[in-house]
Amino acid sequence: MAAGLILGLVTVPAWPLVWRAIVPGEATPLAGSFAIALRNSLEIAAFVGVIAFVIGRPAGVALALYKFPGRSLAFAIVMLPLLVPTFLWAIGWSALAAQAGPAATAWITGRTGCVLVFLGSAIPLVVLVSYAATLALSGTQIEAARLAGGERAVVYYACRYGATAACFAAALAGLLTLSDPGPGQIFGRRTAASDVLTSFSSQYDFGLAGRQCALLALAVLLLAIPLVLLAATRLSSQILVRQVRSIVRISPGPMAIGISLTFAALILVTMAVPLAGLLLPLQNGLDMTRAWREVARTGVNTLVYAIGAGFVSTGLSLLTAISVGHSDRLRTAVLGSCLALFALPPSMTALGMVYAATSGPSWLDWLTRSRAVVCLGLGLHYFPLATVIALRSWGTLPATWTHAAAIHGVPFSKYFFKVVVPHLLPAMGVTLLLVGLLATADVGTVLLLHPPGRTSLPLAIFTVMANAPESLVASLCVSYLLLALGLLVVLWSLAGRHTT
Amino acid sequence: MSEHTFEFVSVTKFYGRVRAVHDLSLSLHAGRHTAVLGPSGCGKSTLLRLLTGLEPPSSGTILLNGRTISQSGDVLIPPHQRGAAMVFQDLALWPNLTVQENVALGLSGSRLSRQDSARRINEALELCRIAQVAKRLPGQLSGGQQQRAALARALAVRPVFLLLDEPFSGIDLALKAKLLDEIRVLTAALRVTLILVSHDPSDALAVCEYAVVMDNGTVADQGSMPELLATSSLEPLRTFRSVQQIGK
Amino acid sequence: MTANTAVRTTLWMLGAVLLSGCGARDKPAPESANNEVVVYTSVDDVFARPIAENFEKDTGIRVRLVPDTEETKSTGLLNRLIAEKERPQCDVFWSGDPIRAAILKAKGISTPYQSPEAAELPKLYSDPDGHWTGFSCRARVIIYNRDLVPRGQEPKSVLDLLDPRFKGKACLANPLFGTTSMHAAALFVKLGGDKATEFFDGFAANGGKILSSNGEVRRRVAAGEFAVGLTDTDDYNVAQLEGKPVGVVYPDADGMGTVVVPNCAVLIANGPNSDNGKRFIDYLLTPAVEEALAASEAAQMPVRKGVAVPPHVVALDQLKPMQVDYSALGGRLDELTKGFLKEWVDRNSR
Repeated sequence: MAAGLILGLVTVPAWPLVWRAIVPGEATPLAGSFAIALRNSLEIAAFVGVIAFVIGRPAGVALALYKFPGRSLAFAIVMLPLLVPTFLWAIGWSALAAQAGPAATAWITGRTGCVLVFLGSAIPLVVLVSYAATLALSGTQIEAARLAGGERAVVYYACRYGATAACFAAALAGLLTLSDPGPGQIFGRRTAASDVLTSFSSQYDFGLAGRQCALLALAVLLLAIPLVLLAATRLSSQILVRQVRSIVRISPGPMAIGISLTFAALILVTMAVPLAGLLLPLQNGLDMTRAWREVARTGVNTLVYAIGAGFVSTGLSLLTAISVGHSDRLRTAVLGSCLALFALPPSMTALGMVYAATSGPSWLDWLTRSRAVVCLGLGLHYFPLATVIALRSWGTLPATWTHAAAIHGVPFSKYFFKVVVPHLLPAMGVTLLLVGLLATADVGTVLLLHPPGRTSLPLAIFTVMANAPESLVASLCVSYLLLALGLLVVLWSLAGRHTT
Repeated sequence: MSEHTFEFVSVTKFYGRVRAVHDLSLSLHAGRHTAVLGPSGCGKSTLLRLLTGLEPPSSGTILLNGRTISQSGDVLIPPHQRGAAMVFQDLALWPNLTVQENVALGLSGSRLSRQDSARRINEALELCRIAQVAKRLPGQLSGGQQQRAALARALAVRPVFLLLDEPFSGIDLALKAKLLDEIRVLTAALRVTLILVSHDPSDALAVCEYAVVMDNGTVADQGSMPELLATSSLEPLRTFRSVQQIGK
Repeated sequence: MTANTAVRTTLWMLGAVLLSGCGARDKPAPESANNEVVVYTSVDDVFARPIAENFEKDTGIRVRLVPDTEETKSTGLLNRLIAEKERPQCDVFWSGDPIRAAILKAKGISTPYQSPEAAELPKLYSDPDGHWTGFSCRARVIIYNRDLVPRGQEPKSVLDLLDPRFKGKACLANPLFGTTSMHAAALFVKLGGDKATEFFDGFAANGGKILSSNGEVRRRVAAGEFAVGLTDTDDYNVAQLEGKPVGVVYPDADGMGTVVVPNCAVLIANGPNSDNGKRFIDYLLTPAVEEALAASEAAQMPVRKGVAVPPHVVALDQLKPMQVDYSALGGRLDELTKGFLKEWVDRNSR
């Protein structure tokens, strides 16, 4: 009941547009060719999900199990693409391909390019979830596997354990691609998201856009049902195992170099290559003065939006997890709805919120037209991801703790803040970080919702890049990436102190 | 206090399609330490959860001193007003709170003044001999100390019944014997009645005078401990008897 | 415990940042909220911001500038304006082309304003009802790679892109968006439906490619991936300044003429600071702004007579602007984006 209420509330901002979609008007009917766009989108999502799983799963396991040279740095850098809007990677790839010649361009055009770009943010997502799932294993379980069959058995066991969680993360990463029109536009692949964008930005037909979004969400829901039914029970059985003694990371001898090299290759492909493309223009000189001025103008807003979105997502997902409790049926329903929600383009939510603020009273403007609204819009978009993590960590809370509190008549608020919240804090921290990172990379929602003059750095980069000299754009990218990396390293060392 | 009696009348409990307890009728009297024996999965733990009100029965009634406290689908009196405290199988110590904080949070439902509460906490810690590690987190304690911490948390609320749900799994024999001995002394001093759920009759023999044997979700046999040990052909008593004979 | 405390402290700190940031919408300027003007613009940030800063210096009115993203990559500001129609936050929309201005008029979002500064501006580039006023303009040009197109063999007309020598070597930006969409609408008006359809189909049949933006056309022609492409003068100028091997043709000088794309100043109906909005529009229409935009990297052509033009900018009277009814283009484009152009783009995307 409560879970349904929260899920309902989360979709409220999208209602005005869905309403327009349902009410028959003079709006253009849904073209049959939208099916092609839909198919292309689902195809890209599937490729991204599968490849991200295949690469991200072992990478996450390796980060959790082994010490190897450059481990912390590798972790921070692997996470970095989450912070960068996909269109930037797309431009990087295509710039580099243009340098390399027609064969490279022909190869990268269309589906390949889209998949490559989306993998940039999909892999880190799977790596992170995979890493967290592996950490839930106990040290003794790992040692038992090691005794039974050496490192091969450890890796095999660790990869199988929590595979459902990683699989789910991969599915979410695939779904995240459905609402992003950028790469499809740049690589000339017709996708559902670019059709939705065309309906919005070229035809100004909100009704058509609404119907396309609804159809997209429906298709996802249909595809997601079997996955969710399969995942829900496994997710709960995997997560109810309690960790007794935490994993001791070992250095796997000669294998360590191999792992380091593999990570280097992973980073090279997901990041360094497109980055090189983006930074090519730097050979014409650096324009750091202007770049830093932009950073100073937008830095605080960027941070506020990221943290705010993190708080909104984390808070809402925690409430959802609490109301779902340990009910398998509810968990399945919520996971299914999350997948469908994820396919909803953020512009739907954002425009709905603009409508709401416009029709609301002006004395509420301090709230409805403030930076808080940007946080809310971004937070709602990433709510499904946060919910998956929250459901998982809520599942690790032993029921006996709550029973003990009930038998002693401990007031709920006291129990919640003294026991539950501290227990969930690490997971909430991860959610906050993840949503914060993803929200930072968002451009569309911020553009539609930010109070005039309160822009974010990625949006500023986006708005100057069309015609600004390439060296300025490259300088901006460099300063953004440096800031992001700095932030990640700080957070990472904090988290490191926590997990040890 | 001595008239404190829990009564189960035709209680059945389903978890989904699984029937954990079936048409169970039973009385548990204060002042009579009772062991609930039976093989794993026979419904022993469910019995405790029903008694404490953590779960409502699917059908049937549970009475406390003649007053209905649970009936089909409803918990009428909440767990903390039933005069029962419990030590869980996994102890359920809240891991981020120190021993002292665990006991304090356990008392927070009792509406005591600050001084009374502090006195009770110290008393419980002293009684259970863990005052010296009161500032530590459960994860920093030995197995025996963790058991005592859980015991202290349960006893601090001065319950009429102390429910022990297989609390000695995973600790060595010598320690177990010592703990059981202490529990006997403590319960006598505090006039607390024990309900011990166990699959091991030797635990029960050490502290309980009465036993209920469960099988397949219902009461298969009950009686005084020595009597049951001598006559019952049910598991786990039968195995226990044969092991004793081999010993002789 | 210490680790928990560390995480908790961090969370509190982050929360504090958030609260300080989110609370008040904007710190109200001491002079009152009226001393500002909110300007949404589809003109690139790099060109619009210096103009806005000069206005601030001259008038003391604070400009809150909201630049748009490239339309092809995210739902843009025009959608925001449409959604905000009943109670707008914006006072002025500074459009980089008359198409968006026409949409705002059609949707009842703009309001007429006859600026006194508009008196000297040619009427051709403005809405007859006063909903938008055109000033500095760009032109739609053919950019070519000098290494791939020999001297003397440059295309002269957009129709030359169908020439077999450019097979697989020509590109244009997605004609559903931006100035390319306006160019497409102009071709349909000028050439007639059949001929324009023939052009687009012929372009695709000749292996022509659709790219995501004019900037990409510039970049990929400059890199030598394509020999020729249709883009805007400002894009060409940026490539030129970066020392890329590119040349430019102002097409159809001896035929239908070159499509000229004026900037348009639009006053939003019921904006919160309408008076300041009018002052900002007055400022945009001054010769000083036309001069500044001409001198900038955007290399915009002044439409007003007598404004000094730097050497790298082609003056408007040096070329033959296509004569089209700008106020009618919006309606035509509306049909096209729902009909032929959408279908054409779908057909030619991989």
